[in-house]
Amino acid sequence: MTTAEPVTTADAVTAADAVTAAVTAADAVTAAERATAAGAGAAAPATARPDKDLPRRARRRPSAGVIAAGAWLALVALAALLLPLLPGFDPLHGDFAHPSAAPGPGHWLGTDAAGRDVLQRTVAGARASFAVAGLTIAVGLLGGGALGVAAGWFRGPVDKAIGFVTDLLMSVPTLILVMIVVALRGPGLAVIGTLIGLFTVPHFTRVVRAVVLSLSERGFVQAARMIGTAPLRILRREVVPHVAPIALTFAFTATTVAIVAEGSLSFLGFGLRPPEPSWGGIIAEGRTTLGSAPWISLAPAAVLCLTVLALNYLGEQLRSKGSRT
Amino acid sequence: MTARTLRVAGWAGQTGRAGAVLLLVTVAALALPHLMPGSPALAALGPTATPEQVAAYEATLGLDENVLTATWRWIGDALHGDLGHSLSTGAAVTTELADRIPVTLELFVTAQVVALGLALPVALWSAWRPGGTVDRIATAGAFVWLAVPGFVLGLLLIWIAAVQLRILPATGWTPFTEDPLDNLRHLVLPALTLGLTEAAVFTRTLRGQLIDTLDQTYVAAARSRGMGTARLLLRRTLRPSSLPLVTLVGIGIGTSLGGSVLVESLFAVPGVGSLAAGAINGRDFPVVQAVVVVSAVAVVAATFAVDLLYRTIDPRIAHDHR
Amino acid sequence: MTAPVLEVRSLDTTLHTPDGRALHVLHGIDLTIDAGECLGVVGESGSGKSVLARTVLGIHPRTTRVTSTGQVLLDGEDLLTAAPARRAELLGTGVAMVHQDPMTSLNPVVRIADQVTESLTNRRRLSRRARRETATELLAAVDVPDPARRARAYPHELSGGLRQRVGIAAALAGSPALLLADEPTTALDVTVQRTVLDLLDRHREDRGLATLLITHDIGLLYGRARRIAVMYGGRVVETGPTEAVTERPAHPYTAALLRSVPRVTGPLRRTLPAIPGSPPDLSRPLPGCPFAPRCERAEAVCTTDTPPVHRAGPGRTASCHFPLTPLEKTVTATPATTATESAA
Repeated sequence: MTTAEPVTTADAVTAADAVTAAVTAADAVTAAERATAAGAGAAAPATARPDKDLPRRARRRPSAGVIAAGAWLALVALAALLLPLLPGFDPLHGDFAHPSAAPGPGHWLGTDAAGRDVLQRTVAGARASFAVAGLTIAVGLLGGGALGVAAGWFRGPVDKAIGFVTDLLMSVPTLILVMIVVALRGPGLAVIGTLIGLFTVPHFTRVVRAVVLSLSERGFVQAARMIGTAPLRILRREVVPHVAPIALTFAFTATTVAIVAEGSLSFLGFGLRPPEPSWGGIIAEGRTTLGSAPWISLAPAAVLCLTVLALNYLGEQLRSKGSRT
Repeated sequence: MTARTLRVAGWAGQTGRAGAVLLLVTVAALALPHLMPGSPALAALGPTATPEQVAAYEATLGLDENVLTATWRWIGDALHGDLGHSLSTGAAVTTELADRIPVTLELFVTAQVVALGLALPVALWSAWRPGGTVDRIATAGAFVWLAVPGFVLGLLLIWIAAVQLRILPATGWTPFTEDPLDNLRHLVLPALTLGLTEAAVFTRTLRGQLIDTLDQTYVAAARSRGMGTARLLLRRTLRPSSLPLVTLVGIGIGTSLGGSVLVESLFAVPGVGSLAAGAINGRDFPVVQAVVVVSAVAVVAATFAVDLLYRTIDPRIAHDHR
Repeated sequence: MTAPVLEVRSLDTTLHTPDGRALHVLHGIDLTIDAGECLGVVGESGSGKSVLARTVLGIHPRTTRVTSTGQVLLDGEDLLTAAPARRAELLGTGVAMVHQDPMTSLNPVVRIADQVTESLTNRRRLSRRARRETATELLAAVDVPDPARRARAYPHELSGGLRQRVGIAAALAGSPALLLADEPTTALDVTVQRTVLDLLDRHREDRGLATLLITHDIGLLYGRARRIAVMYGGRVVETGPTEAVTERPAHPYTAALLRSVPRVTGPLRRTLPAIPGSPPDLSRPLPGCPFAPRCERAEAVCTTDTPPVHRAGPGRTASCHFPLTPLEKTVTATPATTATESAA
């Protein structure tokens, strides 16, 4: 182990995002890396049981916090999915009779300077954020998972090469790079989501690699290899069930990172083009009127923060439940 | 192979890797204009550009030669202090960076000081009395805090301090050399924005490490020799627990560029971050390329510094010839 | 006759863990150690022997609340009721401890010299040079070769045996009157164990140290501890001179413990005689004798009544309803729950 290899990892979209990712990813990484060091791997959160047992265990008496967090996320998700289907839903429509109206009946979160309903715009922004998050997770899981498994399975030069690539990705200032690509290729869900996902790959790769390494040291993988079991079969039957819970934790982290990254990008003007609403964008729009109409920025900001909080909380609970097996 | 040879080989390997990374980053940076659909020259100069103008533009950016020779030339120029000229202002990039790097540095250092100044006492207290009032408040607080992204935090701070309370300026910057007091007034909000979030992460990380350390036998052994709490915490517990924190600070240098883009844009601070944001918007390639490479250099340098610091803090690491 | 250095009277300790359990870890412990004497305390894991040491020192994990009744007299001064400042004063100078695992009992980022002299530097400032010199002397006294170089070194540069010597040197630095050695050789190679124990003996004789030697290996105590106390389930079940206890054990647990020591000589056995069952759950103390569930000699009364303490002369006791060896004089003194009296 080189000493330069950090114990904690930090996704590098912005300093603030990095620390969110660092905290939630750090514990998973540290736990998984300790598992590698320990060899026996009993301490790793993922290695104790295949995940088919997990839902049964997790269903036992969820705490009030978990219920609250879950409820909030469900609310946001449902609103994002269903509200746009209602007639009269038009986040781009400006009610010029009531510009910059304070929250009240009719406009529950108020309106912005152009008279557009803040609630509707926030809901529309949620769709954008979750879409980006979905893409991020997909890219991160697939890319990181594949690389991590390859690095941990084949080791040797393959591992070193993948390590080099992950180091490279982590030394690049990610926010800057995403901004550059967006400036050159134009903004769009696909571009942004893929890029952010790309930058979460190194972290997931390390975690998966650590798990695979610790697993290979355990007897059953070596035994299966010796018998001549096809590698794919070993992967599917032994490795995947242990990686799955970590992947779930990663999904939560990646969603948080994606939401914050997309928010930051849009805030700076490099996200989805206005007037398409996205959380960062509508928060940025309210910047100039913070004194007179704070709700324009603060309402969507509150929704964003609560969502991230709920995600972090659930991810944390998931991890601590998993590690207690 | 002696231990010394192994150690030198280790250093050489690390340096080689760092060099390779920097080289690749430079190549990638110089290849950026090719990412644009269509001709970057036409996009910049407009459809009425003459072929001579297009050729001149392409020559400036090295688009007329292959990427590797362009990289070679760029590195050569860079080592002589020439990082090109801004396409929008025509000013030498080196000069612009020289003006702006100290500002970003000032912001970064202040933010770290704020973060550590908050994190150290809170983490120490929380670890000494885990489950106590301070600990529970700090843990819950840090958790909630981390859900607030940087730009939201910045907005909040502006709203509270500048709009509602009107005690601090919302945006702007005065150089330290001109007016230290005004400089500090403008420094407060951006530094807090960066530092407070880091404080939350630092506290969590440090607290975890401290608790692990305090459970170690050697801490009980020190207590059994009559060591007082303060001395125990500050002189025997902090150091063995500080490695992950050092890593975080080191990584922070790398991510500070991204963070500073946001904060500097939000607070109109003339640092490298806002330079980058403007340049990216205006497709000012020389500036963007220089910023990317310089920040990669900073990250690599930070990694080496972290490594060195590791060895000073924990003598076991130097011992393991790596 | 001088007063004993350590006198423990009816020590009863309960630990309250952070998750709300109350463990009654020590019941009515009575012990004495004179100056220059080594008392061996032997028992399985969970018998309370390590807690005993920590209670005498007054150092428990920070998250555990401890309540103790009884007296722990160090040179006549009760440590349990002493002011915290006074207790802090005594740590290292009145009573000191040699810890179990040399790999973890030294701070990895602090130099040996600074750690060995802690008993001294916690009270007054010593310059770096003074620390080095004092440390060199202390290390030389525990037979560490090349002590000056070792004093400047870090713990990871030393072997396990050397580290344990450093631990001993650190414990002796403040010239304590009482030394607690908690399994000082468990983590060491067998070849090194003897040298470390000999070292402890030598210092004990030279300085007139009272020593409490805690171990799970009764074999270690032959020839080193003048007296032995056997602990089980948080109680002292038997005490006495080492030869008497090991040759004619009075308590069935002691006998079983002695039987389970693997011997090189004697008839070959196919299985090691082990004591069936497992130690008692201290969070749910049962009435009667704690060893009853595992004892071959147990009868109904053993599970209901606390066993009486039989005395056979000074320093020879056994707490059992049916002691193995008919002790010469059985003057019984029973604690609270039942009042059975039996005469010789």
